[in-house]
Amino acid sequence: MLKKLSLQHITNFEQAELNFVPGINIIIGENSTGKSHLLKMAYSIAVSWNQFGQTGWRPELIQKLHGVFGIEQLIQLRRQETVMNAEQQSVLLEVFVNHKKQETQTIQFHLDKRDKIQIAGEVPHAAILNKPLFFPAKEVLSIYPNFTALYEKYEMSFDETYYDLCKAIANPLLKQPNYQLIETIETIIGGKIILRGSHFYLQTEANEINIFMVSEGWRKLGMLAYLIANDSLKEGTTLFWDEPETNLNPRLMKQLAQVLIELTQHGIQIIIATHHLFLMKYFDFLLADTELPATFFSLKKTQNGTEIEQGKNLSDLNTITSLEEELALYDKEQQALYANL
Amino acid sequence: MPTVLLEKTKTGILQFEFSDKWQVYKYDEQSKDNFYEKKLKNKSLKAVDFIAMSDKAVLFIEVKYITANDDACRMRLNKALDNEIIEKVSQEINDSKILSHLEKSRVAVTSKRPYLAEEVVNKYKDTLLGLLAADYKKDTKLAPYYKSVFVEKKPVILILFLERTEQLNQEQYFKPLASDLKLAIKQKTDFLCQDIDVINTLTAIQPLGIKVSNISRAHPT
Repeated sequence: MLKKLSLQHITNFEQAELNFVPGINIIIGENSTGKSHLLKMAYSIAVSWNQFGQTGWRPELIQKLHGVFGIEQLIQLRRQETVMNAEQQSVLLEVFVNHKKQETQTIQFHLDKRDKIQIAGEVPHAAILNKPLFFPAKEVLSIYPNFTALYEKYEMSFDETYYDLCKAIANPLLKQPNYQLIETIETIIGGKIILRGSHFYLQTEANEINIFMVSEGWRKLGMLAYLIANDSLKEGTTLFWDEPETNLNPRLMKQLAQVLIELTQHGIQIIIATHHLFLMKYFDFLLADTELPATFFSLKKTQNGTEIEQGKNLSDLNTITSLEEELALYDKEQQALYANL
Repeated sequence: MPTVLLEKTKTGILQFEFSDKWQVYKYDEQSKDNFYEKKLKNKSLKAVDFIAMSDKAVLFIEVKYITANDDACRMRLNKALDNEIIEKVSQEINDSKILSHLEKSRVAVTSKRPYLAEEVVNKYKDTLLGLLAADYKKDTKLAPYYKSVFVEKKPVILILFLERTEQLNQEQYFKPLASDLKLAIKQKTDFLCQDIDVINTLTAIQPLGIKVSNISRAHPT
């Protein structure tokens, strides 16, 4: 699980610090504020964590950053508006580790020259409990067959999060998965996701439906259930999800929000980035009456890059762009309505 | 000279000040001379609170003053608010052996709380019917309003004036709800009126020419 991410002069951010909670972390902001960058940076480092200190870990971390961000050199991660010495473009990630004496460990590095990193301080040595998962905006059940083999051989227009997710899906199923969690999702989608040969199907009471005939919203939820069943998503995992609302009707968004909250009750840390006002408000509503750890981050574009504010509730945030646009629309509608009166 | 009318609800008193451009009628006034009160109320027809007309438009205004939260409110502000309870009860009935299959097919579980958007729509439709009745019965007070709508065919705007608590009246809470209610009302009435608006004391804009004050809030008893 992650505790803190700090960035200095990286992509949109002059200075950014996110203090995560073990439960639900919701990042909001308009397009191009850098929501996805935050998720990808945290994920790239966390997923590489257990290799730190081993031979070749540095180039592997660099390769992971290349693959996840779709870049050729780390210099592309520098904040473009700033021309600084290498030491000032830095990333820090603090995570909870499996260690008798230390609750957390930290890695901090600076970007060096065009494509190198320089570590500040010690390289962490304790392992994280479980590998994180990253869900991109599009589901992968429909692209899964042969995807990993193709990705390893050819240049493809997908970032590495798709590859990583397909590899996670390839894990075998548990004999005794967490049925409580899975059943909730299977009730929503009306069946069970199964793999026959190299293709997925939705197995309902009546028949088996080819995954391509299943709505994308249900495929996303089905993917969640499958990853619980194959032990990829379990207690101690951090799940990153970029725009989970994509292809989801608000009715399904409500069910998704409830499922994600249930996941946190099973010790899974959730970090999502969303545009959708309905989803933000629904989370806020569900979390209001609970003691579950939750936090909202709002990203706002300023002249000094993207700034971040953090609050326990949605109403603690000063900037909610989606809400501002909705209020502005109401005002415009009123002005148009009464213009000729 | 502005027209000032008070709307007394169970929750509080609102003062409506209509500018000179509006000629206003308190459609559901409890008075023995009022057409609705005399002729229609006992026929179970509903009524909006005000009808206002100018040389450019006609307003049908329904006033609601709701301070309770969603759960405690006597009507639903969102359509699906009681769905969970309904599903729960329906499931219990299906699972129980109290009713036969035939009996189950004859009953339905619904919310006792009316949905605000539907209530406004029904009041509007009944008020239009009321104007037709007033013309049929040659009621002189409602005649100009009937003429504006049905003869001159002026644009009609249906307005829900929805007053809430001081906090819930603030735009960040009110406007998203108002937008949803506008759409819900419009879905049911777009064949019957030009446009819909949902406003409160803070959001009624100047071109409308109606100023509303919350008297009960200004002078609490």
